[in-house]
Amino acid sequence: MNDPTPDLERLISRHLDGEATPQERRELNARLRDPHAAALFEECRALDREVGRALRSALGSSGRRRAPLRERTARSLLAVAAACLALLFWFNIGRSGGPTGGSNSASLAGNVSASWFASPPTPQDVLVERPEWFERPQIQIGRPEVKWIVVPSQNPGEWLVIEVDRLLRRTVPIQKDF
Amino acid sequence: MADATVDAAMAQALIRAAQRGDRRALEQIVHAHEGWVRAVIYGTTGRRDLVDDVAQQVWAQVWQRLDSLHDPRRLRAWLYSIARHAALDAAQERQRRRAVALDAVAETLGAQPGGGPVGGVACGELRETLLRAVEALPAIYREPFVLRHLADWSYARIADLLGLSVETVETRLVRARRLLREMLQGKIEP
Repeated sequence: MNDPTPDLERLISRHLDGEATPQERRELNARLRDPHAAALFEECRALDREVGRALRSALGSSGRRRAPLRERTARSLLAVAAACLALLFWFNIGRSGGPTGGSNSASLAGNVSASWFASPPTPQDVLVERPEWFERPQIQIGRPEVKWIVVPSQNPGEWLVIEVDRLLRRTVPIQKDF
Repeated sequence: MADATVDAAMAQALIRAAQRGDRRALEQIVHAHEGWVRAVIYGTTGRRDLVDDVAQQVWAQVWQRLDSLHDPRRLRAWLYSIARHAALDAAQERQRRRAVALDAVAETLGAQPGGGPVGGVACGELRETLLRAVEALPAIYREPFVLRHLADWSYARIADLLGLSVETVETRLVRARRLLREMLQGKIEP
């Protein structure tokens, strides 16, 4: 009989890397009913998590650069335009199908209170079951780091200095139980 | 698909601008690619202490040799080739210097080179143990593993960069995980 482990390892690897198809995920789920397979899965998942953290903590990942001024201005203008459109849409609905008039009011009345400005119903608190894979709470600390890449220019004695933001991420478990 | 075309066109325009000497264009290229270039350097050498120095060398070479990149669509492959060669050269140079230094120490002390645990400072931290395990992987497994975890690339993208098939990348990642599991047995709690 063939050893099923290599195939299982491949499935787990694909799942951890986000490459598994829905069918492969179903197959993996089915195989995880076997305790040995589940143990292997947990081992691989923990290893991936910890090694990934160690690598990101040691070498960092590229931090987000602040967008250039022109780009930021364009984004702000887009946001203002979107807000204006939303307001226009709001008033249009208010006139044609708001709660005080229009043909849609009856259907809306069941869900919406008499005023548009009434606060929405407060959702009930739901106690979430603690999942089986519950882990001790952790906090993630990101230490931004600025590095410079210095490139010599064609002109002697002239250098081009490029600032690079980097984020060194570290996850710290909260040891104390409250 | 349209977005990808626009992105590719913008990237090509950026490279052309950098080739004309536009420094801001080079700056944008550096920001877009320096993360995975560092991953390649670490994946190739398995040495954290070389990453920053080699990255500097790579970008200096890129700036000097950008004119030789005739097809901007090949930027990633071109960068990879520069980064890999620079990383291998730096690792060899460091190894050579270390061997010379160890010989000198051995001569001075009258000891045989390689007779003791040189530089083997025991470090109890889990992070250090994990990094050492990654660094102990054969380069062919370490490279895709680091690109996957640091640059967060898909199999297809890694395969494209390393000039391998997607299946080979997948197999190497499975083997990298297997080797790491063997090396770190009992050190990580699921």
